[in-house]
Amino acid sequence: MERAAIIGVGWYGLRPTTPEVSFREMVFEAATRAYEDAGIDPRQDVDAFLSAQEDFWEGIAIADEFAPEPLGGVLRPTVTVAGDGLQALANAVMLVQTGFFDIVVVEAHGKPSDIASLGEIYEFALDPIHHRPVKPAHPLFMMAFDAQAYMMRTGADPSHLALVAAENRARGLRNPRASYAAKISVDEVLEAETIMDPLTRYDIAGYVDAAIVLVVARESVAKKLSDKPVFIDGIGYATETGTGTLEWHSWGRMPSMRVAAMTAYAQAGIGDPLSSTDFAEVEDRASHYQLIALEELGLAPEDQAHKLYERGEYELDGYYPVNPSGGSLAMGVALEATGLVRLLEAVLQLRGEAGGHQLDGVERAIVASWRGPPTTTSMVAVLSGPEMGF
Amino acid sequence: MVSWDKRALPGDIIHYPGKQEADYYLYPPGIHGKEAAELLKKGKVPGMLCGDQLFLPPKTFCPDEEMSEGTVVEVEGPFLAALVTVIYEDFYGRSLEEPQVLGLITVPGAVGGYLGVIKADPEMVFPGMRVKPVFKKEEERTGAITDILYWVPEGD
Repeated sequence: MERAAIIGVGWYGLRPTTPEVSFREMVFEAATRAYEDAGIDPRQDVDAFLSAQEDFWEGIAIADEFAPEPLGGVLRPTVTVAGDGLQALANAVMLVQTGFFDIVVVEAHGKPSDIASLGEIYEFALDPIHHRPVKPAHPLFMMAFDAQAYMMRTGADPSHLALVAAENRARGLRNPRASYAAKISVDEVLEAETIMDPLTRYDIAGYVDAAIVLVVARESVAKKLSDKPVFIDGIGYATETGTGTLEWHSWGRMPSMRVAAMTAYAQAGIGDPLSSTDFAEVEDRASHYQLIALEELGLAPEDQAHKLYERGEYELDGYYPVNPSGGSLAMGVALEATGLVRLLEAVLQLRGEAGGHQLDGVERAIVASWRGPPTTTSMVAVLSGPEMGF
Repeated sequence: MVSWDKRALPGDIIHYPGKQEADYYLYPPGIHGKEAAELLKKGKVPGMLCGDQLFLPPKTFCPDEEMSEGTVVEVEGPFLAALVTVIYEDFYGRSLEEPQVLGLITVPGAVGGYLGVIKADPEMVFPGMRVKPVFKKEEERTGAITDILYWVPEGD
């Protein structure tokens, strides 16, 4: 079976506000750039379009009907995946691997600055029988529970969380796409206002508007069209019992990410991810999730991620760089586009186009994201750069 | 005017405000939900047995290989806050008038727990603390989770 490859990427936004465009124009801007990058005409060359979006984020019911036009998908097969962009990418890979689709476009966007009641939308995502009526003062309370459970299990303390927050935000200073980059110390993270114990203001990522568009092609087609394809060696996703049974979540862990990783690694033929890949872009919309992700991905032994982090193993010049982009803590959360932001950064690294935070000689990467609170859905992909593919 | 002629001055940017009309909906609790509601009305805490494993709160399906349906049972305690956080700010960064203590309240050996507000001094709460439910008066109960007004530390 042929692999799928990314032959074009385009993005727009990655800023806290984008008042100059509507969400559809933001998608158009990203799509135009992706098609230029791939050297294709969407009206002639694309066989299907996949859009990742969610009605309540758009403020429009049946919002998928808004997807075709800004992508160039009018009167073409277009379908919406109600999930993170990485889930849409997984579906694109499956379409390509049927052999009936040579080129498929994937789009995800988030425009939280348009959502005047973002907090209430998150409340509305909570279980209406057991959670919403309790009126939690912050709808993302589950992040605090996960942080506490993680620390109780591993012996980590708030300084380990703050170290992740400070380092990721500092790394973003080299990344022009990182709106929340900052030179901030561990002490400043610890001394900031506590939002919900044990998380302070700087442990939690902010929001950005962004649209990401990918052009995905069958391997043989990709090699004809592009001299820099990035191959998708494996991709998986999974959900725990779900938001409706959030109480049953494995607190302080992400078993959905572990399952997604096992799926992706098996497809990619990877046994040990540490020795088989060069770096990772991983989930970090709150600082502790980066530590949890490292363990679930097999990039740290059980309960040890915080100790390895303390030793500098995941720094840019460490044994295994993690989130050279600065992650969501530096780049922000773009709702359903968040996973594709991680993927965009990995693609640019593998193409040698990351700029100021480019890593030397990287050929293979892991991308891992979470659909965000209150979901229990995770996605993992393994990518190979152009040098590995030929 | 084409798409690259973007407007940049604040006065040029307009929005059309809108409202998502989804603020009224009826949520059926399902067959097991009705059994759980009956227990709540009696001032009892419901759980669900899937084989020998207790789950809190009861939902319709067991997360097992057989996709079986569980049995709703009364849970007598002892209750403890397995996880507990103190919330100081809301989603928009506004300080709360009073911090809210929120816990995941369970019994030893159970999977899951009830999300519940704990009426306690934020300085005195900790994971693993024993708590007990405070119910509404019997005549005011409706079978909803809000029949539990809040939880308090055991001994209060």
